[in-house]
This record gives sequence, structure tokens and C-alpha cells, in this order.
Amino acid sequence: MAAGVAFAGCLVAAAWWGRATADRPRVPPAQRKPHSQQTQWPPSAGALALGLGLGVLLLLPGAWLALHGYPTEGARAGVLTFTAWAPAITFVASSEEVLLRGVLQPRLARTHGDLTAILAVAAVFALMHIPLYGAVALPLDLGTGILIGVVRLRTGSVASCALAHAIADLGEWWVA
Amino acid sequence: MMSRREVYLLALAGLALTVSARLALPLAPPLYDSITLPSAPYRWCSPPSDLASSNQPPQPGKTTLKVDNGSSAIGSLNTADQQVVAFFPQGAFSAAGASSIDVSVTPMCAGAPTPPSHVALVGNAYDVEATGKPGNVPARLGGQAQMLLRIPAGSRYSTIAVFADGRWQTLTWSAQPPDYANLVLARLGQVAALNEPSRHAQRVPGPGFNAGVIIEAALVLLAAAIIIAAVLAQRARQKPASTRVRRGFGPSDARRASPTRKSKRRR
Repeated sequence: MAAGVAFAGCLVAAAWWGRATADRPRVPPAQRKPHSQQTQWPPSAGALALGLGLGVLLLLPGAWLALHGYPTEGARAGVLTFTAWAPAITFVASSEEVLLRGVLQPRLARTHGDLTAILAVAAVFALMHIPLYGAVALPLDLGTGILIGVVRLRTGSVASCALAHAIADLGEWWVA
Repeated sequence: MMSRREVYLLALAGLALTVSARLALPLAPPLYDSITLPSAPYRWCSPPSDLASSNQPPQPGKTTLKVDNGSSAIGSLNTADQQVVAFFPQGAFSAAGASSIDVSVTPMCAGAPTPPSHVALVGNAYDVEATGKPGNVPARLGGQAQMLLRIPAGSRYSTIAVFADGRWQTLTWSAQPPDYANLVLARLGQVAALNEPSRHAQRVPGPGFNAGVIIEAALVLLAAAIIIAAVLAQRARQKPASTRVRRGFGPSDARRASPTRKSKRRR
């Protein structure tokens, strides 16, 4: 519970920091990359393809483990449980992306640059999963957060991030 | 602004971190928002009195690993009740002259080693054994296996230890919510969670409570609120523009005259 409260405080602080510094741009306007700070809607086919590709890429290590006998959650639970939970998993993944890569990352990018934004949001992404999965999941979530942040930067699309995230979630649980 | 090269380098760093973390800690939760399956009630060797009537006995688990050139293959093992899950990397075991290694995890419902004084055993102790075949030669754990050990809901524990060579030895571990400890098994023996009252203890949440799920739910609600606010803000921005068109403010708006204006001209 303490970890949960700490994370909630962390998230509120990060959002407040981004908002508070929004009017004090440190990156000169000429050097800004509007593409990274604006949400592209509807997403282009290229953006969706990149999201799809990242989702599949994130599954490969788990697939390798599964091929070597590592037990998967989905195999234990069965198709019905998976089907029942899949919409919820997709919704949660999309919500996280809206919040982190849709709101927080462009705001931080505007004031502190793209690199800081990607790393800070990836750190928040990793920290927010500690209450649910423990500190042992932190390195993996940090790496994944960086990758999804890069997709957001390159495509300007939150939908591609949500696609990558949802595919990785669902696939890791069942396929890999 | 990041150059294309910097972006690629950052992506490469993220990918390296993701792959190495996934392969180095295969029993750590994978990404990200996969569900945590509701757990069946803990199976006790010696249940508390209020659970004695409904308790089921804990179950063992067993696997066989092939041996190539004296080195065991990668593999995993779980007890039938999922209270122990173990992962053995390539070369974790060695056994002279063996072509395979039988690995077993057995709950010690009788003959569990006694914990030191002032230290309590939490949940069941599990005996982890490995034997080389043929010939039943003893196998040695040379590498480090990773293991998930389930802890009874609502209990407290301060460490995970293995009883080997006649003494308890503390293992490297971390809590894996909601009710597992993720540990590095450096040697074979009897593994158990222990609680020493004077040390800081992890508390396993009781059944039906999961702080992580509450946080995820709060996040989803927050994201939904942001989406609704964004939609409302967009509508509010569009409203004055459409009002200007109808009232005829601005030359371009006048040229795109509304049907009302056109009808007035005709008259």
C-alpha cells in the first residue's frame, strides 16, 4: 500500500512538474520538433505498422523462453479466461499510453527536450508497475518504456504506442 | 531535438535492456499489464486451525533435464498447485556421467528442518533435489536457478532461506506481488520463508486486496477523464468558430456564406 501511495505521489508530482514548467521553455523554439509533441490523429499506416512491429518484437524473448520450456500464464489459465480478460488488458494498456505517452511525454518534450521526456516517462512507467509486479519487473518495464517512447517520438501517434503495448501484453500472457 | 542517430541509439539501449532483463529474470513478471490470476487458497502442510477443515495438501513437482557434454539443458518446473515455480538456465546442473537429471520439489510435511530460535517458519518448506541418471548420481547446482515461492496470504516474512549443510543460509530474493517471493536458488536443500520478529518483514496482502489493481483502476479512470476533457475542450474550441461563420465575421467566412445569407440575397 505504501508503494502504491508513493507511486501515486510520483505520478502527480511528475504531472505537476510538467505543467508548472510548461510556460518556461528551455529548448529554443527553432530547435523544437513539433512532430514529437503533437498527437497525430488518425494515425498513419506507417505509425500503426511501427506499433505492430514493436509489439511483436517485444514478444520474441518470451517466445524464446516458451520454446525452452518456460511455463506461460495463458497455458495455465485457458482460452476462456484469456478471452474474458483480453478487453480489460487492452483497455488498461491504452489508458496508460494516453496518460504517459499522450499527455506527459509531449509536455515534457516541449520543456525539457525529447530525450529527457522519453527517459522520464519510461521511469514513471517502470515505477508505476512496482505495486503490481514488484521491483523485480523494473528493468524490463524501463526498457519497454524507452522503446514505446521512441515509437511515440518517431510517429507522433499514441495509437501506435497503445497497439504495441496491447500486443505485447496479450501475446506475452498467451502466445509467448 | 534528437538526431536520427540518437533516436536509433536510444531504441537500441531500450531493446538491449528489455531483452537482457527478460532473459536474465525469466520468472519476473513479463510486461506489463498482464493479469494476475486469482490464486487458489494456499495449501498448507500444517494449516492454521481456522483453515484446517478446508485445507488441501500441497503438491510436489518434477521435471527431467537433458544433459549434453556434462551440462544440463534449460528447463522449468512447477508444483501441480503452482506454489513453487522454478526455472533452470543452461548448465545449471552438473552430474558426472549422467545423460539426464531428475529435479524434484517436494513439500516437507514431515521432517522439515527446525528454524533457529525466535524465527518462525512461514508456510511450507520445500525440498529441492536433483539426481543424475543413470546411476542415481548426485547432481550439483553449479549455476543459479530462479524460483518463485508462494507465501500464504496475510502472513509476514522477513527472509527466504535454504537449509543446506546443516544450517540455514539466506538467499537473494525480492517480493513479487501479490503473494510470491522471487528468489535466486544458489544451492539445493530445503527452501522456506522465515519470519524473524526483530527484522523488517514483508507483509503479504490478505485475499481480495491488491494495491496494484487499485492503482491500475485509478490510472484508467484518470486516462478516461483526460480523454473526456480533451473532447470537451475540442468542442469548445470549435464552437466559437462555427458561431463566427454564421454571424459572418471575417471575409473568408462571408464568402462561405451560410444558406441563410444566400437565401437573403436571392430575396
